[in-house]
Amino acid sequence: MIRNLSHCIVLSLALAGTVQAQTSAAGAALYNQHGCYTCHGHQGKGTHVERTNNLFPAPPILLAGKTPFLASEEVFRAYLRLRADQQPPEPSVKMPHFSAEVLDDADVAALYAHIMAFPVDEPALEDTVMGWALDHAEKQ
Amino acid sequence: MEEKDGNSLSRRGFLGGSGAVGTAALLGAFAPHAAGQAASSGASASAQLPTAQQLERDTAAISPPAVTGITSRPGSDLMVEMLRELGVEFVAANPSSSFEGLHESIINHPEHPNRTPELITALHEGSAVDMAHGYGKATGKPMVVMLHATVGLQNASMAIYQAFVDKTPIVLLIGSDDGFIQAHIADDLAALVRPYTKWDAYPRTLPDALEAIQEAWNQAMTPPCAPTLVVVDSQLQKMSAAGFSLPPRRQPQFPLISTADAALLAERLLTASNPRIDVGRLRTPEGVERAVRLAELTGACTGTRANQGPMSFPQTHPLCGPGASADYDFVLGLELPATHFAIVGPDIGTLVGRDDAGVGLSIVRGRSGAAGGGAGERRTADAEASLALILDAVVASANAAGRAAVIRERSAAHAQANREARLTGLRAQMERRRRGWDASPVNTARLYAELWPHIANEDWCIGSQTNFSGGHHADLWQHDRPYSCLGGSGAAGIGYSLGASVGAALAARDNGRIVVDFQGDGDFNFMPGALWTAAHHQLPLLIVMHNNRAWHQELMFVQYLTGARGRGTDRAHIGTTLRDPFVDYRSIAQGYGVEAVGPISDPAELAEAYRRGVEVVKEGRPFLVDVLTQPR
Repeated sequence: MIRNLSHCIVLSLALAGTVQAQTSAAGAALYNQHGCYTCHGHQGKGTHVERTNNLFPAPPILLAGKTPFLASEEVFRAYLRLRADQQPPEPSVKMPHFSAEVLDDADVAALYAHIMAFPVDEPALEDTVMGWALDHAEKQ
Repeated sequence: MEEKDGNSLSRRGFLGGSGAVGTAALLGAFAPHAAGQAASSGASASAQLPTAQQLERDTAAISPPAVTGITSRPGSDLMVEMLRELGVEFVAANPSSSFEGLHESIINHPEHPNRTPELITALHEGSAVDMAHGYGKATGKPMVVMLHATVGLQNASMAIYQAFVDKTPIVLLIGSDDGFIQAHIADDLAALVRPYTKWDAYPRTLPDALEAIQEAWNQAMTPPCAPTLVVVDSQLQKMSAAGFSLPPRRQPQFPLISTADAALLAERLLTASNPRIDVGRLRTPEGVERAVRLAELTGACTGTRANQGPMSFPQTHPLCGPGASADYDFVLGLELPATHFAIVGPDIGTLVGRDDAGVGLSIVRGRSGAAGGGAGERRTADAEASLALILDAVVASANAAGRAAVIRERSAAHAQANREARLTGLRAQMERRRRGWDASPVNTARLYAELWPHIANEDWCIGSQTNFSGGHHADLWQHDRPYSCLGGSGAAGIGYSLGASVGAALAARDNGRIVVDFQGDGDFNFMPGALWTAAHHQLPLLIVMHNNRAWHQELMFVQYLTGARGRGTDRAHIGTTLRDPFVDYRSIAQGYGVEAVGPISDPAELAEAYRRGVEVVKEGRPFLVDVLTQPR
């Protein structure tokens, strides 16, 4: 009985992992297909530049626990649906609007799962060439 | 020679006879087209039918004009001597039939063949002007570009427009030969670009041509600095210069503040308890030296734009930064608006009167004089030239000695505060850039950061615009020389960076300097032939491809609109991306004779590529590193 139960748990975990992998793969495809990477970067790094205007936007990083509109899948879905002026007066680089016809709820879920799985990827300064640059500046 | 107009003397006949006319009588006969004046050429509204001979040339057997005699000292030799007298180092051109005389004189001048000036071979007229644009910003003085009549001038027109908006001095010599190809002739060539040049002339005699070249130089150099233009008839180039000589040198005249204002500013800076000098874009390195001297004499902390454009205050100078206190009781703006007093040169808006064609360029109409902003007094004058007066007044001031101890003390306090602010700011900027550090394609911040150790201890210059690739140098590098960062294209047009960087590399070639071009792929593909110029002239240029395989700005525009219209963003890449096939920039570079590596998508490979690139560039050859990057 216990053995069967453990088999069930392992099977469930494996299935869950498969579903999660499929969701993530679908999310990755959507992330590329809809050009999310073009502003947020392939790993959601956003841009580091604070200077921003209608030509040079500062799209936020996409980071679980840090980016407000990633607080939950529901918040994320609402954010996508509510974006954008319907009649933009001039060329804009703001976050586009995504209707339910374009990204249905399953698409949003897959996209959300993909974004939430982005690696943190933040090495210490000293482990990058910027550590050298900081030393160099301090010696000036 | 047939008459062009039955009611007037043939132009060739007029020119041919000019040598017999007294020089003094001809001086002043050229007609510069200043604001509000009639066109210099006396443009006729009636169209001219081509002659049978011209039609034959246009449609079939094209041959150069017949040689009628050998001239041992042609007029173009004297023009080249005029350029040399003005200090012109380089003349860029794509060869043409209308300035062959000038071309020959540059390369074969009996006393200085192809030296000062040296002929720079461009593969496109737009590239030639972009080169002059980059050179002009790196040095603060004009480079000369020769352009061929209607076709060459129109090829160059976009680059001229950018240099105009960017207030960069360039002298354009437009060759004109009314007997060769009909489609290359215009009564008023300068009219093609007049709304976005500062001054032009169409001289009809050799003395007038020499005067016009000198005046074009002086006009380009004085604010608002901008491209100027002289139409140089081929017959003037080929006529005998016997009996002619160079006109006396006239120095450019810069608008100055009054001596009373200079004395007032000296007193305010010396007696204020916490003065500040906010430095914008001056004209030349000498202006930067003057600004540094003024800050040091008065102990004023300074603001700079050196990480955004040329000719501003050195970023790591001890007095550069917010200072020990931001409670400034006197702020002087140099080419910037300021709280208390600003010296700002006239802007291109003052040239709106040249738009007699009614083009109505909004950039000109919208900049109607000195820059706006700032609540204080403002003088429309050249800040760089005026600095000399202020420095004299400071040195002569009775307060200079009495305030010496105070100035020493506040200078030391500023130095410490500025250093702390600089290091704190640098660390904060670096911290923000750790995110996605190992991303592939390469993070744009890392594109810049990895290059810094290879050039930080070199004499370097960024020749390209950098805003499309994140402009991370602005926050990560220290910009201490007048040419560290040459800034954007002026009019946000595309196709500028490679040519401008080649021009900056011309300025760098004999100075042990390295020029870096952060080169967008979309921008590159407009005029890639500038690579050949860099290889041919052995220029110290490192090209770093920001290869995001898209015109990314426009991709974002289309994405937004597709979203706004509820149609989805999944086809926004159509017409906005460079894929199917990808462009092979390494092969293109190699085809033009430029060593290259890439494409690099693993950021760990960047350091070695940069090391190799800097090594090659220091040997005097260009090098291209193709990097597949994150979009922004």
